Amino acid sequence: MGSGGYLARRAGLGLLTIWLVTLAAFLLLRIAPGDAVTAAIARSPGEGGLSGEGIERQRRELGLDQSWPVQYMDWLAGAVTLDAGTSLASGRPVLDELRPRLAVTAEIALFAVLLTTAIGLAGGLLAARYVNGPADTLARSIAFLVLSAPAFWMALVLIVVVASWTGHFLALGYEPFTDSPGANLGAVLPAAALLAARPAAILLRVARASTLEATGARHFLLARAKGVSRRTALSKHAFRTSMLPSTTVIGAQTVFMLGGAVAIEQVFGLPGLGRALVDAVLARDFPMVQALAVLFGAAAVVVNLAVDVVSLRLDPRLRTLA
Amino acid sequence: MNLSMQRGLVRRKSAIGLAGLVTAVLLALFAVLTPEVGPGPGDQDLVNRLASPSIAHLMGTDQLGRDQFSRVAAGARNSIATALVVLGISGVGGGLIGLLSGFAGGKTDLLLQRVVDTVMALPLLVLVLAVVAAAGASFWSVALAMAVAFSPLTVRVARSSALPLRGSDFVAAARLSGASTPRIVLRHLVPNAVGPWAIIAASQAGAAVLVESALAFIGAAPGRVTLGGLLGGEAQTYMYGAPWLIIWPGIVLGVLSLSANLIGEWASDRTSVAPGT
Repeated sequence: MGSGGYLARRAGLGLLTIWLVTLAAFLLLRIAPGDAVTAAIARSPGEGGLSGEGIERQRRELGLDQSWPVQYMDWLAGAVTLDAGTSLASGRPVLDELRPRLAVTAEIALFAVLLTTAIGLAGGLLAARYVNGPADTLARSIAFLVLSAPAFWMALVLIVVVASWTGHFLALGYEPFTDSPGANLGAVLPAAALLAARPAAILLRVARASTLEATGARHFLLARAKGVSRRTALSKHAFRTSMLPSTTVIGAQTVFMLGGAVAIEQVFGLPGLGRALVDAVLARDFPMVQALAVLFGAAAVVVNLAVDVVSLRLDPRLRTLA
Repeated sequence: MNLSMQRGLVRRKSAIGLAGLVTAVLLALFAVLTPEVGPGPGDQDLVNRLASPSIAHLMGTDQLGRDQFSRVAAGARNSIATALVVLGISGVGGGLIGLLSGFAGGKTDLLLQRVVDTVMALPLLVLVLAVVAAAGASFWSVALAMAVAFSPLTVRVARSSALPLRGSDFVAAARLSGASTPRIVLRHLVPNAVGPWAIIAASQAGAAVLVESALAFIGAAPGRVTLGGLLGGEAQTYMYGAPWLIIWPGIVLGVLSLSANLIGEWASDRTSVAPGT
């Protein structure tokens, strides 16, 4: 089978996975007691003082009196025509609510992925080049410590340290880049750097280990036997082989950074998708949760497909295996 | 590499594992014993609000005069218990399911792997929040949801250990001598898969501590004293004047995770053949 067919099959499986995720999210939330109406009452008790009749009327308006299969099919019918419905909590279209938040999360993730890749690969190659030397020991020790430290805690410490040393509070809160590039980057870059810390540490360890492993491979030994210097053989021959596991790590960490940034975003006051998800689940805002599940699921599928494409290019042998 | 260098390396590796183990035991003692002595994590001493660390309050007090030392200990107890649940369910349960899946092959394997794929694609946050919404915010709802979210990786690693063993001669010999499937899995597959398993299990324990704290920090599971909870909410208002409020929970959190990672490092050193990897 050609690699095109292989990728097409993977994309098909990806669509199936996204659909399963929306179904799982739908069922999990429907099992939970309470709905958008009771959640709204719980958030502002005494306000309005809805009678049992009023609650029923609101449920009817929001379509919550329908059976689960009908509700799900309604949602699905909208979703395939790219209509994500209206938020039950705010009454605004879901897509309008999500668009500005997607911009925030995408910007942080973009910087974080770039930082992860640059630091992780450079550090890994450097550590492999000077294996068991001081540079290697230092890089591995830092990576190991970073791996154990909670990122959002490092963010809090950074804010306190900057505040007590300079008397300035780090820019907290989000300004669109087009409004104020300085204020935007002032909040986004520290957030991206701390978000990238753990993924970069993981990538460094993998890139180092797989580069070293490749020094035992025949193509590396052949290059050395031909008279290629160890340095060139490492960066040209061994490192290329090590890009395969590294690509997988970068992909997995990108998916993590899209969904796992909530705590960091909260520290820096950045209104991203993670916070939207937390709020939507607490408010039982079903259409919002569904849209976010699709978004996160789709991101995972797209990133994994990209990893497959890159892997096929890196190692043509995979084509025959596929 | 000569023999004395090799001995030195073995000693260094053992030292790493021992350091991790000792740290873990010390932290467990701290977490379990502290609530038995000293003030409780909820006891207020309103005269001593936001007191800096002293003999009476080793880690200072918070805005309500609660002893930070006993609150950090209570949080650590919660973190350790979460890590143990994840280890038990994802580590042991997921590991056995993975071995069985790889060993059985065929339709069983195919079906199990689709389930694993779906759980893997479900964002951890969606899973945990939905379970907390359904079952209420309790220790068990968070710990169980996390264990389920962590399991796919263990299943996959154990499965890939079992796959190459399926056709091996010693498994065929065991089967011919009349050994049952559970016996083959426990006696023959487990010992061969334990190396990669230990690395994943230890790194998951370390990650579980961090993930639980992040979930508590964002307020996904309110109502208990957790290390993440201690860092969130009010602490962010008072942290500039009373940095001990955020320093100690974070350090204990980091050391907890570090001890698990040290044990994992030791396990991976022991099973790896490449130098220094």
